[in-house]
Amino acid sequence: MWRIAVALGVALFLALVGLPLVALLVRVPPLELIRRAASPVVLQALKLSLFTSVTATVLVAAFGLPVAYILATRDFPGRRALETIVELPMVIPPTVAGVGLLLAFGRAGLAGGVLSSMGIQIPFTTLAVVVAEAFVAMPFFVSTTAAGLREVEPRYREAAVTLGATPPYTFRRVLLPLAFPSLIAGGAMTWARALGEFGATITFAGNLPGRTQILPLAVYIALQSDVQAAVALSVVLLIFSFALLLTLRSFSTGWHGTRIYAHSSSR
Amino acid sequence: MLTLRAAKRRSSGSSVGEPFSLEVEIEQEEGRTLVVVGESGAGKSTLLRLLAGLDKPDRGHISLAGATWFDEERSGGTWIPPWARPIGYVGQDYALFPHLTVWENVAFGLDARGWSRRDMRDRVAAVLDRLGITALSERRPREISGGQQQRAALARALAPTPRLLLLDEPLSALDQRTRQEIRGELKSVLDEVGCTTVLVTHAPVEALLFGDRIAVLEEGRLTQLGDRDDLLRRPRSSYVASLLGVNLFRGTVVHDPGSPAGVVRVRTKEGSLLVPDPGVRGDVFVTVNPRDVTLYLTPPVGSAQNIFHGEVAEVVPQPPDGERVRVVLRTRPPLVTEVTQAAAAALTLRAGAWIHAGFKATGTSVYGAPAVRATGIAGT
Repeated sequence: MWRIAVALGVALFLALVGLPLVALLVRVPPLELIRRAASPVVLQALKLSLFTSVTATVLVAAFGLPVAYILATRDFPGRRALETIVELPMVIPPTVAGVGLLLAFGRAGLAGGVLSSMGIQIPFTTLAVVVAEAFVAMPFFVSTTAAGLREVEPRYREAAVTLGATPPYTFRRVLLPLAFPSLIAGGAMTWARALGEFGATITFAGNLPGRTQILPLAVYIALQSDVQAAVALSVVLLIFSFALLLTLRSFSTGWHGTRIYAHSSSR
Repeated sequence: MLTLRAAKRRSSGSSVGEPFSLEVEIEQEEGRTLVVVGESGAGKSTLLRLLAGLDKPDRGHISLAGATWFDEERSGGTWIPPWARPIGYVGQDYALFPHLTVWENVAFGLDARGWSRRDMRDRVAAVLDRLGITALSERRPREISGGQQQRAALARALAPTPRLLLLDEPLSALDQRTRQEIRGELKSVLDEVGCTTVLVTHAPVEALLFGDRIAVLEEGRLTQLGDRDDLLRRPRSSYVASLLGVNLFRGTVVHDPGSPAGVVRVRTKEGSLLVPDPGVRGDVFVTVNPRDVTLYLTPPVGSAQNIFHGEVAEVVPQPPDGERVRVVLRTRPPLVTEVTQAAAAALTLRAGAWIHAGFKATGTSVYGAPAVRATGIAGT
């Protein structure tokens, strides 16, 4: 009975997740796929997707690291609130995030006046794509990194400070290296989320080919006129994501293996 | 002079009315080793963490050589963070940085304190050489043995030439054989370095080996603080007596015209003892070496002036070879004796047997038990 239940669950799971993947791969013949994938529209969208998602990831890492650090090491009033704010973009619908971004940084938005007086216009630009992607992907980096920093045993930090290491020095030489696998994992998830971003981007940045039309948008648009093109685009994205995930998994298990060993040898 | 006067509650969240879980007052000459000995949970590690600056006292004063590290009474209070104190600290599990090699671990404190590359290389080489771990320079902590980790951790703490060395149970993470090997080595390194050292241990043998001075910590309070000889000759608590393996009684000198010249009677809670006149009156401690207690199958007559009767509670052969056995007696007061294996056989000693025990007045050591607390902070 138990075995049957487990087998049934696995089978349903495979049907749900596996079938669409298979469907994507078998729909268009390989040669046609390659021809389509090399078309200017696809390449342009791919390039834009790569550029914006990498930029968003770098920004998130730069701004998210201090937040992760204080969440992991400090206890202060409002900590819970900050943690919730950090995780909020993960649960709100991306289109809602897009509306929020418009109301904050749009021409009539809260910060719109300040920005336009400085000659900066964000909505419906490539920058808007980066901002939207960073907004929705940020939680993955911050919570993973904070968890990683928190996991570093206090004794290492204590050993460092008794050796004359100031908190910044301790962070750079001890905390960061020991939490590095978490940083990489968090960064990878952030990048993956940014790469697949759709809702916040189309709301906040629009769908302008060459400027804001990233791959997921291009797929959606293509689907309405040319199914084959949409499939080609999807497969490109699929292969890309798969390769990314695989690389990161093998990387992080390698790291993890050495860390467990290091910990168990201490006592 | 190292001064530690500190009181600390168990945690910062404890209520103000709660008694301090640690309350000590210690002054220590520089260049000598102070051993803090006590059972686990007595507050030994906390004491060390206060000195290191890893924990903050609730009140008190900490200073070394005139430099104040902590004082809550000065205007605004004084607090020197751990990284600004000239200390070396070795925690119980060494905490060598797993991502750095032994060389990088030892160089860590020098780099953090801004030593030049050249000085750093020279110093690390010298320290590694002194501890005999030069060959391990490029290894990571997980690739070396426990004893080697201990040496590397000590090297890392000593490298920046600290003025105060803090060692928390430096040998407890090692297996028995390695511990014995490292013990002598650690002793000679400490003697050679001549750095003021506070070493915390639960093992009496380590306390007696390392401590020029020994502080006994029981439930967060100092019950004895003094030179090693003072501790050996004049234990002041049953904990210390049991560490040393001697019989300790506390009692009051009472007037007894019947006792012989030069001998006085001391009344304890569980009976009285005849002891040499210590020249003091009032409360005294009496110690009796277990080897000075003789066992008899029949009540003895003659020279033994202190006679007790009771059951044998326990018979324990003693290291190294079991040639002597330790006999715990359920007398009033309870006694511990030590006899040879042969004597034990002749007396057919076993748990539950009825036995007579005696010792001479001259076999005891008597000293005043001043009615003062060994610790306490004015105003608490």
